Amino acid sequence: MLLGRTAVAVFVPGVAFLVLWRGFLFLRDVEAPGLITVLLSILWGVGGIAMLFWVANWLVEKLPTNWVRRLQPFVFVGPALAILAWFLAIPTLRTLIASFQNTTSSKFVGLNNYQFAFTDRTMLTTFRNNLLWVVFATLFSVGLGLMIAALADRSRFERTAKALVFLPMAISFVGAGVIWNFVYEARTAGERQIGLLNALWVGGGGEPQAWTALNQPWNNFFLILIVIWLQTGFAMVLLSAAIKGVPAELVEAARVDGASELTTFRRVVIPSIWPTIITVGTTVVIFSLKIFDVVWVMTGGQFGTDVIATQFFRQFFIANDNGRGSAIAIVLLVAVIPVMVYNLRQLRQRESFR
Amino acid sequence: MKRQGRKPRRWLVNGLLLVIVLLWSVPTVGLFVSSFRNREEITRSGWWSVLPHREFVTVSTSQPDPALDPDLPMTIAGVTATFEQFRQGVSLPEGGRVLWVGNKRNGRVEIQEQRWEAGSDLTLDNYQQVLAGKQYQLRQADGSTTTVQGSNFTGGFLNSLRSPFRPQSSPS
Repeated sequence: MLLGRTAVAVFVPGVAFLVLWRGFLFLRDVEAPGLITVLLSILWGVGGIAMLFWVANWLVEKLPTNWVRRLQPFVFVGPALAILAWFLAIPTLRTLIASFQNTTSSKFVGLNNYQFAFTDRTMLTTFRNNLLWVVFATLFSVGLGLMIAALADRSRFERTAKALVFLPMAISFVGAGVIWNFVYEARTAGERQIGLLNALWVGGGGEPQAWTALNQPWNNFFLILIVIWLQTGFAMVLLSAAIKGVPAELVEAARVDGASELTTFRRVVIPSIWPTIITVGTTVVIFSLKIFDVVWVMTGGQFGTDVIATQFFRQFFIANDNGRGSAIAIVLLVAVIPVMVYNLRQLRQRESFR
Repeated sequence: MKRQGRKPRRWLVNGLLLVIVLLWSVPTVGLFVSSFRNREEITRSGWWSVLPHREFVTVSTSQPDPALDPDLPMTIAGVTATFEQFRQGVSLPEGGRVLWVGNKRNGRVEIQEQRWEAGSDLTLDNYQQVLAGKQYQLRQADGSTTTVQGSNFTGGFLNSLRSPFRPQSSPS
């Protein structure tokens, strides 16, 4: 009896595997019109997955009851976990290993790459710049977003104003770089300025400035401004929704008690929407830590504007230094993780609160 | 929480909002306007020059009198000034200015007048070239010309539709 059941338990998965394998070979070698192959592949893929689940479930259900309880969840979650591990955990692990190895990942070099990442002069500038990005991009995006959301809430032109401020969100970062080149472009003194900022500056009696190049370290702020311009719309939309969610009775009660508009906003509205402010803020922090495109398009990381991501790209793909590149990537990962955990925890708290 | 209680001064709110929205839109407007200008115009003047403004327009160009010595003060079109001043432009008593373009030995004299200009250089060429592709005239070695159709945006657009269904070649 036991023997028979064991035989069946081996036979059925074997058949399932054989069907999948033969199907794969057939689809690989078949000489059919493309569309038919595609349809067959979809059928084979979806049917195959369903069959795998069914067989695995059937197998587990043959076991004693408390084993079924223990194992059944993994039948359904298992494949997802396996794919997650394959796409996320293994690459991360490989990068971690490579960060302790030399340029071509052929020999372990201990902490040399990390020593470079934390002591090299260019890397120190990089960290300083990223700090500027995180602090100023976040402060201004969230602050301006909150201000615009609060103002728009009291205006008849709310929709138009919000739409126009949100518009840059639809623009890619490279596109934003092109747009802001029309603002930052610099020509030598005496020539006609075609950049808006320099035209205004020279019109006011100043010398033309290379905003993104020569005014170190201030050029970083001109790059940060681009991202503030892009991200304020995002902050504004979420904060605006949160402001509208503040119970009207709360605000009304504050007004009845004689609180001014500003006090009501500071003491009632802001505490009510604080979780949203934190969520938006941490999202922008993560985003600023990972910033790459704007810097790469505007200055290529020259003139002291490098950030962690551009340094990673430079070391890994231009200098072909797997070790240093990986070490920088790991540093970035380690910097982002705490913020991300905080962000997710905040999000979960908000959901349980509702 | 809209429309209740004491309203803050409405003109203040709307005014602030207007300023912010204008500031926010300026860069995008610049891109939009530039998309209607050709590349020479874009590199020559700012996008705001499509707005009405007074600009020096060349009305006549001539070769300088060979008898003039650029190292000494010269008299051109009735005004006397040094070479450096003519390079910067010298105002004429009846309006306009005289401009020396080029160097001392190989230059030309331009008489310019201030005129109102607005949006005279707007064109749809960029859109035509992006959507339909530019046509290039190529002169072959035997002297004949062939017309080559440049690629257009359609390919890129189709690629971005197609890419989810197609393995992409890995970037080098």
